[in-house]
Amino acid sequence: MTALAVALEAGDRYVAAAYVVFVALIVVYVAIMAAKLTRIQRALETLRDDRGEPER
Amino acid sequence: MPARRISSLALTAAATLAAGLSLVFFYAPVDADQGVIQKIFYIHVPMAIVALCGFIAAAGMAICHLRTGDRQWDVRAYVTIHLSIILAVGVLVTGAIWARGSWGHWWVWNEPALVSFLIVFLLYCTYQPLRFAIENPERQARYASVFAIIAGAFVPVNFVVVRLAQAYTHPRVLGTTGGNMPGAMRLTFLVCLGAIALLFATLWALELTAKEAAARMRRRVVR
Repeated sequence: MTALAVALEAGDRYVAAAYVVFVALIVVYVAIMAAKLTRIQRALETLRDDRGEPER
Repeated sequence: MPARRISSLALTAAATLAAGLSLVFFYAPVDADQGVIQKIFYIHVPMAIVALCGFIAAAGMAICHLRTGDRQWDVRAYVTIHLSIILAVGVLVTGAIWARGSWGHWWVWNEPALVSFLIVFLLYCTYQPLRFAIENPERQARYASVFAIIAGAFVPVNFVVVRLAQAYTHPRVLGTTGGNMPGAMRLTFLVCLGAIALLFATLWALELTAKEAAARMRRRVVR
């Protein structure tokens, strides 16, 4: 990491930081959405099991 | 929205984003005035444009909700504002990084574009607390729609006022004569704008589908 930081010039570092922020924002959002969808899916499966419905 | 349609939308968004980033780093020339730091604009400006368009679109959806009484429009407006706020966070952070590299300061209070965007962001930050402070679902949707319309009308007014401001230090990416960028830069910018718009559409469809699934599940529990 230090070697990478040294290799990058000041301007490059700011550009890298901005793009890392952008990617991090998207990754965090998608991770939260994936967790929510998994929770819904689990709850739906529990509901199906409770009612004895076959899995679609 | 069907899963297959979301998947194809996600693939298109990913491909356009990959193309945009490739153009940014391997095709677009380094700006003679600002240097490499100008490359931040290829995500900063599209995110700002898409976020502001999202706020205005949410106002349109809120109008549809009030006119038709269909709760689906309220959910669409809610998801649009939610995603626009997330993009606005990205705009503020990447803008601050650019300002630090270019001006030597993280934030400049006498810069109209920065402060006005912050005001719009803070205004929309009150949308969720306002919404969830109301327990009655019907009234919650109605109040949220009224807020979305008023705040949405404020966005273009705010943009025009900033453009008319005299003390202007914020660089203009798109000028009144159709842009000040050379061809390679403009192509890169437009691809990035398309990529962010597609990304927004994908995440919007995904969140809306999740919300619909959750609502359907709640209805099944109640039945």
